[in-house]
Amino acid sequence: MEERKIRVKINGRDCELSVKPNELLLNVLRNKLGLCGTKYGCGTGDCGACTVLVNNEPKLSCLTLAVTVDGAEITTIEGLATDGKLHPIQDAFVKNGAIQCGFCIPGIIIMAKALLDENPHPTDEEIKEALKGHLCRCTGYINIIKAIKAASMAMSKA
Amino acid sequence: MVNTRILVNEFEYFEPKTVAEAVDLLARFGKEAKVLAGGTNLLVDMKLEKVSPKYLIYIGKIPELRSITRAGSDVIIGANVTFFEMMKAAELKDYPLLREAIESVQLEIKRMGTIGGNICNAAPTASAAPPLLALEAKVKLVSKRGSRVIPLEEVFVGDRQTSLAPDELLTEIHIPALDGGCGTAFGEIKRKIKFAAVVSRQGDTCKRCRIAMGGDVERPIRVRNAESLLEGNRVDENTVRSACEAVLAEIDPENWYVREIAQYLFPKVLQEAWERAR
Amino acid sequence: MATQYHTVGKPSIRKDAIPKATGQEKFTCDVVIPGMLYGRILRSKYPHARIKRIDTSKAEAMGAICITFEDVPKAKYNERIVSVPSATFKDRTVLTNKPLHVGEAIAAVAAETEEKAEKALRLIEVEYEPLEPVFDPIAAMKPGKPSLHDSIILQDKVVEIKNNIAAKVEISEGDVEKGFREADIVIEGTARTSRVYHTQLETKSAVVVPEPNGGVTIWTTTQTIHNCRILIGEIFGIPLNKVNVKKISLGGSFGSSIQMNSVLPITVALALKAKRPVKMCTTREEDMYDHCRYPMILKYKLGAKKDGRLVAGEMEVIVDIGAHNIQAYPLLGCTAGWLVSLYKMPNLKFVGKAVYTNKAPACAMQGFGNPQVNFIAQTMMNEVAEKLGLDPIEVELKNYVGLGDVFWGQGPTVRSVIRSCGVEELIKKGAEMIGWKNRGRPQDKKGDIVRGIGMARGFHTSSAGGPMAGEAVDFSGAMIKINEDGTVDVIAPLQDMGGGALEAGLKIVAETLGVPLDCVELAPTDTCNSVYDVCLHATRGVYAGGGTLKKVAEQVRQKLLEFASRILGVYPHALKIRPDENLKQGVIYAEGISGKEITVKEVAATARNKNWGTIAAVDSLRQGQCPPAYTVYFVEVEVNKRTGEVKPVRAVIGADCGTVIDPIYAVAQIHGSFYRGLSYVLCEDTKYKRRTGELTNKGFLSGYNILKAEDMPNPDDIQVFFANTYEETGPFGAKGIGEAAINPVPAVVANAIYNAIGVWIREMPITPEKVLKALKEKGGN
Repeated sequence: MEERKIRVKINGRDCELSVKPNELLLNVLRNKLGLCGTKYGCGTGDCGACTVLVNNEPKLSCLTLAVTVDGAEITTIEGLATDGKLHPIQDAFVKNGAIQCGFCIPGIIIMAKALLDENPHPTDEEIKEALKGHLCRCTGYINIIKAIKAASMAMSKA
Repeated sequence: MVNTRILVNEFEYFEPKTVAEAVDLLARFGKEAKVLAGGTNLLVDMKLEKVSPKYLIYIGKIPELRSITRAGSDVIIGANVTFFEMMKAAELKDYPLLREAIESVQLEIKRMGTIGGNICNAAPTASAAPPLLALEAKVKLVSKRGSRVIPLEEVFVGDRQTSLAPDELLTEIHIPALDGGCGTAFGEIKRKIKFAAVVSRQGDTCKRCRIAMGGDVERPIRVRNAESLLEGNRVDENTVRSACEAVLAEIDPENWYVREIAQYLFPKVLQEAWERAR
Repeated sequence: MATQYHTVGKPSIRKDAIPKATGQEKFTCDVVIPGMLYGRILRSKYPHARIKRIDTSKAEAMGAICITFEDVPKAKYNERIVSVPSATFKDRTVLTNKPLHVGEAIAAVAAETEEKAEKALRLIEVEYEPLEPVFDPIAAMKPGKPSLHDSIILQDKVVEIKNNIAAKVEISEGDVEKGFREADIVIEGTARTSRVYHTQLETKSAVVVPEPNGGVTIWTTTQTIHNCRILIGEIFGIPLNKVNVKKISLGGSFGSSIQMNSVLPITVALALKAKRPVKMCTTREEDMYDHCRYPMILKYKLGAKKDGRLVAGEMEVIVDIGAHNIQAYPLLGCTAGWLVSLYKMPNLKFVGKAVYTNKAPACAMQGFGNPQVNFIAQTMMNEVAEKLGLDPIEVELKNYVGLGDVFWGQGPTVRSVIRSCGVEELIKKGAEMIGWKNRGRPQDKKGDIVRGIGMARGFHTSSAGGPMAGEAVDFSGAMIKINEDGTVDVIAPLQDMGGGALEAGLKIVAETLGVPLDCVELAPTDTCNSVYDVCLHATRGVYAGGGTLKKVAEQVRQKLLEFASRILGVYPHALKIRPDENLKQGVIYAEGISGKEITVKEVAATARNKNWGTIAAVDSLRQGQCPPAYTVYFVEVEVNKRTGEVKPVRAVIGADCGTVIDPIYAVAQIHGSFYRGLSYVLCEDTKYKRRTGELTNKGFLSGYNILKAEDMPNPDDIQVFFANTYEETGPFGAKGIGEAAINPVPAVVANAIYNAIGVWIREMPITPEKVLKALKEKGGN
């Protein structure tokens, strides 16, 4: 299989990469770029641990071919904090006991950013709906829902 | 055992920029090719090694497939329009039925999944299928040989099977305008059974009705037998019960649970559509 | 209770929260070693077979490193060594030539990339001789059925296995027949619990670096770095001081990494052969074939007096353990213990059998038999109450094992007396909060959608400690030192699988030393630079692990005060330490005497300048008790009688964990346990195809039914409160909570369903189909 060149912006940085057409975006992020925050949890789109933003849209990187994101802007969990300052969503997760083993968290925080960008004041029901594609085995989702609501309040004050 | 961490399958990759380029590739490679849109079904199938295409044609970069427009009183949805875009589209505001059905799709899949992909994957649980069938949608299929527009009903021929020829690309979904005063309703019991109903009434009589179902059945279908039992008749306990029998006839007799909940859900959905009709 | 403390009992932010929120926290699957190869395991496609021939030549020709049964040590071991050697049943090998379940490892490769490793794997040729499999535990015990293991090794002796029975435990106390004769009511019931998959987010992985000294450095998914070290040293004949297992964050576990995961010795073998580092990350589908919870069939007969007092109980349990015996024997002993410590049982008979079948091996999962026993015992007590016309709460209060009672620890060999118990407080307060009096009766509830409220009580031992050595090794060790700037290193090999045991541990250290929490950090820890800790399991993290940290911190404090005394001229026992948030330091002072004050930093710096030595201590602790932590659940469910769907809508959860060290994470642990218990009873199961022995869902998450966020009650509808208890044997009065928080959840849901629709359903998972079927059998509305 011939490699193709793709140009992407990853967390604000321009990158030129050589990828095979069958390489998954998840593996390119983790193995070629060393961005290991995004995780493999199931490979079949059922757990959300691989969620990243592609042109600000939340997508499952384990079901995305890297070649198809040529020209796109990608944000991973590593790109959310700016100048060492936590994004309000990250801050809310840290302060509201929403993090236990932490493996599901990058995917959920990325999804929460997309959710709040589109719906700044979600209800509990809307947050639960948004968590549909995310598996968290540790928290039972309760403090995660609280954290997303807290983030929503913090972000609307800003 | 398969390996869901990587894609083992090797293929030649194409990124056509127009529909013409895409169908040209399909003409050349036909059965050995697969069309990639959102990837949420195809890539899973490839990881599970249910399919191993030699050629992969990514249609995500074809702008003409991404638009939603009007043609007369029809709404035309490009095959690459995502679930998310459909939820937001002004043109689809008059079709709450469609929104109700795709509301429950998980957030990431709403952004990745396309209506064309949803139809062509042809899962019996396809989210867009029951509402589109009840809305009497048509699809445009394009190939090098020409193009044709057929009722969506004719697309679903079996479990994950469509009537598309190997060289055909689904490019548009046409949704006709709803009759004024129509009532629509959607209901589902997670993955097991779902109904979409479009009903128009004159007093207590049902003028016209369209009923579609999906879920733990062979394929998404319109339940024409139920429709004909209701059209031109009063909608009461008896006619609803008969219509329900027609619905049950479409469910595997061994599947006692789905049959039970269908008897609960179908009358509810029908009732809701009926009450919304004027 | 906790107001006099400066950090214990107060909310704080866990130290790993920011690294985890920013994606910087490393897990085993994130470890990258230059020059590493990627490993991949070849797994049996038959549930039972002999490997006649295995040819790796084509894979090797590709440049891959290959290993089969022939290339690895052949001695049998048990991958879980929490039990003492005399109770350790060995039936596992690194690779096998007689696979006993679909997915069992028979060979492995390592290559430059995952893609290459996959290609190499598919070039391995295997000739199988399929053997007849057996999948049903009852059938497996019948004579003439295929035998999975002809013999196993117990300690050093070969032991024959008959009728696929891996372990058997029989316990009798008093006279059950007499008890039943004296009873006013006798009821019998059977419960079946499901073969749940742990569904921890991180799939099992290992990274192994072969070292120039012939040893290995290891990162792996484990709940016990020391036990992995001991096993790898034993299996591969490497002296332990050359085997180093590094502690790394674990993406959830819930019991599935108490044992050394099967992926680790295979990766070690590959690394030693390749003479290069090897990384092995398993897929989700491999993981689902690797481990599951112990499914049980429980038959229970109980006798009670008409005032609700229990007089006799007889239980028969059959556990389907799958292809390997990981910890079936202690499980059976514990299962009896859970029953006997749940209710006062003057007369008891317990018979438990663990049976081999050709399925994924079962292992511990949060509760370790306690949720299963609780499920049948609590629902049947509820049934007795209903039949006697008594309030289930009344019956519960008459029979529970509580303050002052003798109580079995983990199994019959360890008994102690309960010194703290908040059960009455939890029941009374919880009943009021949920509105227990207004729960109504099932026969009065009309309509398609009805609600019901249930109650269930659970407990779990805090660790497996006891006054004497028993069959389970249970002790922890730690080292604590004060650095030259007054900050504190805590070298604790105890793992944290997310629950926050070590975060609580750091608060315990800070509290004991009198320094701000910010001064205390967990140091990178491995098996070479730390002393032994048995494992994070058995709800021992805070009670035993934290207890150990308190003991060691007290020794450090003594040394610190001794050094301070040399400087201040005040006797050490007259010195106190207070945390100073402005100075961000601990300050040592003499009460009432001005000018006799010094910071911890100054003492440490002085100690270095004057060559006094490091202010440090290292020690171990074995707790002499395993005090029960209790939970009481009140849950309201909504049942749709037309679809059978059951939705939990409200919960009041009372917990007695003694002093709550870390309020935020104690509550979070309870939330998570509630969720896992709900999902267990309502959804989860793995099933096997009869002919092929494959999982019906092939190991994919899409085919595994699990509760989602949308199925949970809203946060405002879940209330958690704590009892005002103090456990004198625990660090600052603390016990554990982990497993106590899940144990009664399946029962409370079944009890709530009964209150809604008047039927007892005791087969898990309680799916909508089962509810609808039960309603139809009852005769509908």
